[in-house]
Amino acid sequence: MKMSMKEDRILKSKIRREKVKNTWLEMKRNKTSYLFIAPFMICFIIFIVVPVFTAALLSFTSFNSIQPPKFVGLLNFKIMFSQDSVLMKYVIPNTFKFAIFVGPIGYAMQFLLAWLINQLPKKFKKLYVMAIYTPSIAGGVMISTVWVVLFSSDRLGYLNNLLINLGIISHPIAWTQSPDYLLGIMIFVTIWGSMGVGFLSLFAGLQNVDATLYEAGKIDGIKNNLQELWYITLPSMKPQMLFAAVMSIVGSLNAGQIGVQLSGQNPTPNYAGQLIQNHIEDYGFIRYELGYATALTFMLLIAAYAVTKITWFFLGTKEDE
Amino acid sequence: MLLTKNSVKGFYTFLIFLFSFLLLPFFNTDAYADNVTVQDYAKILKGWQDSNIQDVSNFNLEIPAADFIAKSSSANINIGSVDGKSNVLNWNNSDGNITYSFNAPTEGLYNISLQYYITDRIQEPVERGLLINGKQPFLEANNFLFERMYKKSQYPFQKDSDGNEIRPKLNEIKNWSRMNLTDRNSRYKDPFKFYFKKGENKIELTGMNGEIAISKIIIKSPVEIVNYETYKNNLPKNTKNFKFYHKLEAEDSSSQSGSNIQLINTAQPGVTPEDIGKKIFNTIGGTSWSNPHDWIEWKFKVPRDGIYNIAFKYKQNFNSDLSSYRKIEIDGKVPFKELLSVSFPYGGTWQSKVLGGDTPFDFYLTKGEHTIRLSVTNAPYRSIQKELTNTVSSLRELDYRIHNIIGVNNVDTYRMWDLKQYIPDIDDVLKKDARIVQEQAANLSKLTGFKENSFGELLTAAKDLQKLSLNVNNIPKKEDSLSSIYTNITDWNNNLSTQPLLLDYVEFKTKENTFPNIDVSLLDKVSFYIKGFFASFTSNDSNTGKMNSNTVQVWVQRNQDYVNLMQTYANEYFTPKTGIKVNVNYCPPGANLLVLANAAGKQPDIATGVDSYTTYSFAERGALVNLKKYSGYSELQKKVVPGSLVPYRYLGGDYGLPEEVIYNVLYYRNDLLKRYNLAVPQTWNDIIKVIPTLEEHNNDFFYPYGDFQTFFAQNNVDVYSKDGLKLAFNTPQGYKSFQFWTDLYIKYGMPEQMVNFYQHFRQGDAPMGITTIDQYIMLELSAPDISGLWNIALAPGTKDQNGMIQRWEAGTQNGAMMFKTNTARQDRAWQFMKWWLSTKTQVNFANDLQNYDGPEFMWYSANPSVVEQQNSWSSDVKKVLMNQLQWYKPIPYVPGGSYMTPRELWNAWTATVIDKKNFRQQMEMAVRNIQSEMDVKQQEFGIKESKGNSAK
Repeated sequence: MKMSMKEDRILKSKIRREKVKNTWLEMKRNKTSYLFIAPFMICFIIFIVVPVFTAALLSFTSFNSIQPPKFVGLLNFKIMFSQDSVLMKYVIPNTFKFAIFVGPIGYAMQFLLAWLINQLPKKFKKLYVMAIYTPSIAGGVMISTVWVVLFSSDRLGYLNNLLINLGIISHPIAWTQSPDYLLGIMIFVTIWGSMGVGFLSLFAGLQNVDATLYEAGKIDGIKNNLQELWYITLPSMKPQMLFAAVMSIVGSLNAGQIGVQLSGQNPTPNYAGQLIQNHIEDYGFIRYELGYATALTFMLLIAAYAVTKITWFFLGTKEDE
Repeated sequence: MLLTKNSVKGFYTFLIFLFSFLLLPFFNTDAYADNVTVQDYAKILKGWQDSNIQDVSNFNLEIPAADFIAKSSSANINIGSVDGKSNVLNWNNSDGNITYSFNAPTEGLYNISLQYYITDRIQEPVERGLLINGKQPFLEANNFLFERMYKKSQYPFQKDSDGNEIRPKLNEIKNWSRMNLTDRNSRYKDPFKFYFKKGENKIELTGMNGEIAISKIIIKSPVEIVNYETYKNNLPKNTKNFKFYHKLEAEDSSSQSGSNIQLINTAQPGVTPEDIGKKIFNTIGGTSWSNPHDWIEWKFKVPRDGIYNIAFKYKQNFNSDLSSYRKIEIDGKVPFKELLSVSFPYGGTWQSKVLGGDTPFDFYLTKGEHTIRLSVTNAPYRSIQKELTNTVSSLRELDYRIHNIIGVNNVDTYRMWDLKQYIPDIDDVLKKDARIVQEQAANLSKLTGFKENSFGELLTAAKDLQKLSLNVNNIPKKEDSLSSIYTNITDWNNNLSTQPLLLDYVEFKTKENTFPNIDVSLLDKVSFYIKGFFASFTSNDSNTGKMNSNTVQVWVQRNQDYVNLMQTYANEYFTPKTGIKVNVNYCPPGANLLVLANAAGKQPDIATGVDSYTTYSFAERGALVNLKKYSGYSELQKKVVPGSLVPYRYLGGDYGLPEEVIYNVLYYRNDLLKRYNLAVPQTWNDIIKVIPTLEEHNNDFFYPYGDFQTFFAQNNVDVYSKDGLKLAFNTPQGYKSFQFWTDLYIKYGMPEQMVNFYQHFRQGDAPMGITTIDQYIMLELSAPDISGLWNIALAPGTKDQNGMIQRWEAGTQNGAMMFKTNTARQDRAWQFMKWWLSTKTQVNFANDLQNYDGPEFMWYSANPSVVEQQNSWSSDVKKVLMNQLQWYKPIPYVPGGSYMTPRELWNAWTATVIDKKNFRQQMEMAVRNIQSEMDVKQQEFGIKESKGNSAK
């Protein structure tokens, strides 16, 4: 028995060695193929795999960004779920609200807009597309020049001035300072700014729908535009819809600067507009707790992945389609 | 006033009250007229002409300055010798006055000139006023500017290793000079004339600004400058003709009036010498040469006695459709009248200005060296400017009267007004003003030769005024219907007083020659841009890559202009002295790049311009050197105000030194304060008393958002315990301070946030406010419409038990810090630090920064003696700044508290003021949150509860 066990072990290791050798030989044989994927692989490893892996490692440490990191095990995650009251009380609810509005609702609006513009005569289409895409190009600058002035908290702010002149309010409202309004304004401005990208892909999708399908649909008894939309347009532009959805959801999870830009404060007053990105920044660059900040990033990554999966479930192309 | 003087009560008071109420509108007009009791020179001159008072002829009297008959005790005066002249008067301060007396042979008009030498060590303007027989002769006589003279250190300019030219230094030339008393704003072509009665007259010089030595005062009969005809007829007739042409580069100037006039690098085809890919100073002036009295002088040589013509290649594309005017002097004299104001008209491109135009002026020049000086003159625009200024004050007054009736801000626009009932002359005033503005556009068009339509702003203003005059009751419908018109006029009017001019070269020729054409052919243009394009690949603007182990690496978190000057300074003053090379580089503000560099082991030796929080964060984590152990640290530390060292303390070490501190002062509009009869508030209690008056007029008091530190500091509340481990502001006094802060908004209705104080201050609906000193330069440079109507004062404080006003103010600061490397490197770095932060270096740097880069590059030094020696502040402002600087006190940083305290207190403020929650509850919550964060951080840094250690 003993012998056989030993033999068995030797055999196993032999087989293993053989396997490695075979793989190596196989790789050698296909070296041109490997050469072809090398540029991508190298970039992928350097710019994606290594950072994600490092982030994962860092999230188990206490790292103040200047002194070397110390391994602390799961402490960061423990703190996250048990002690970080700001996260639980403000950041998660805010991010959730923000994501719901900017994600799905923004998405629906994008689609509606794309569809409506698609109904326009060709001459005007391009003009409208351009107009709607403009905010996405000029986003950052526009926020500080247009919105901050519009929501300016003193009498001279456009909105306050208008409301005062109309007699609706008597005293200027601190729009971007007040916890009651900040999040709403952030949502509004973000939807306005992020309209472009998703809208553009949806619009492209609408253009791509095979015209013969509509013809066939008419023969098959489609009565109105809405039916056309539901039975033909939507199913045939699933890929674009998926793209737009993923973009807007991931985008809404990653948004963070907007609150800071509008209120001019980091963190936002009373954490009213504190999103997960702000929270990460707060820990990473204000409190210099990079370990905890990376842990938060990691959780965000998981959350984003989960939401994307759900989106896939609804919009992704299934095997049988 | 009437009320306060009258002590009788009852019926009389009532009557007087009623009476003064009725008179109120008239009083206000009087208050405005108050300022112009002394008439301006133009009016006085007219008066002399009307009563036929003549210029005196053939009179010249020199009074030695030492022979004064009286002086006031405040004038610090001694008689001594200065620069080769003995028995001269040294006026060693800027106060008091000195009186001279002389006998005038006849009644009449005289010129006065002074021989002076500027003894002032710092570069502030030297100014004196003049009284004749105890009275100010005319408005402009209250302030004469004594000119200085500056010279470039070298020409041709030195080049750096990349072939870019280095801006030469400007040195003041100290010598005796003679100056006619003239208008400091150059609004009159001739020197001022002064009226003296027959017999004994007294001349009194009054102190204003700066120190000066005077050798004599010259009183003489005015000289009439001949016109060109006469000049030409008097020229020597038998001059030989010969061919001569000489081009003098404008950047090769010999002297200039101030360091504000800049050499300019112009990369354009045709500009000589041509700039291809390298930075070359090939032009001079531009917008930097536009203020009255600014002059540039050139030296040139002619080979023979003879008749010459002069031309300039210039560009004036700054003030559209206006001309820039220059007075031209040759060898210190204006040869004929036509050169008193030579116009350089507007044009998009480079133009040639031949003096005399198509038939060039003949200048007779003798063989050898001559000088030609061009100085900015405002004389041609004077009457237009005067009219426009008068119109603006008339409209401002009218606006005020209207707002007295309809109210300020939140005017009920739906109400129908009959303004004519209250202000019967309203439409006449508007019509008259519209006409005046219209006339000025016509005058300008006549003067400059451009069509009247070019002055659209004025025409629009006139049209709008005309429209309003037809329907005056429309005025209340738009809040700024009048003010927008007169601010436009003011803005436009201010354009007139800046007369920029960019010069490329000056040309001299004899009659036999012609001036070459300055046009650049298309081919030349194309080849210029192609060459420039290729040269852009090779030029290298930065010094990076020259890393050397013996070089001190300095990273500066300021913009490139600061970096360049710092590098120049280090090369010029530090390296020769110590042999240590310095490499100064730009680094984006904030901690990010420094963190990365530190992690990679590539940290600089020194980072400067770093905000104190970043410095503290690095100190907390052991990346910085404790400066305390270095020799010379205690001297450097003593030079700056104590408050500015507070943020750099951590665990008993000092990890940084401040460069700049930006603190708060009080800004106020004197015109509005006078109108509301308010004094400048000294304490917060005063402010509380002032606020209702301001609000009555719908005005606000501005206080920066989120400044909680001030009230703690002024009420002597420590934010942290001595060891820095515990919060200390949760005392009754602390709660009171916080409550006071929130009450300002809740009880006293201060605006929660005023986004743009500058704009409100300018418009006048926030006539007072506390804000940072850097606003000063902004208001001074970009709010000409209220120039002279505002001032700054010490920030209001809180009275302590002894009645002393505690004026502590917080602010922001930046400074220098030293990274941990190795001993040798650190020692070298410390040498640099010691040199850089020394008062001498800082003073020169602060002054040169503005000389090179313009007045907006103000250096807000943490060192009071630097502020004292800075040129650009006037002495009153300086006094305020130096005093306020001593009251600078930020809260210390402690682990965890450094970011958590401001955050939590702002949150508490927001919850209290905006969400109307109870302040005590909010404050308690804040205290809890801050303390718990502090505990966490103390644990992280291992200082928790370990006795004997202090976290401060």
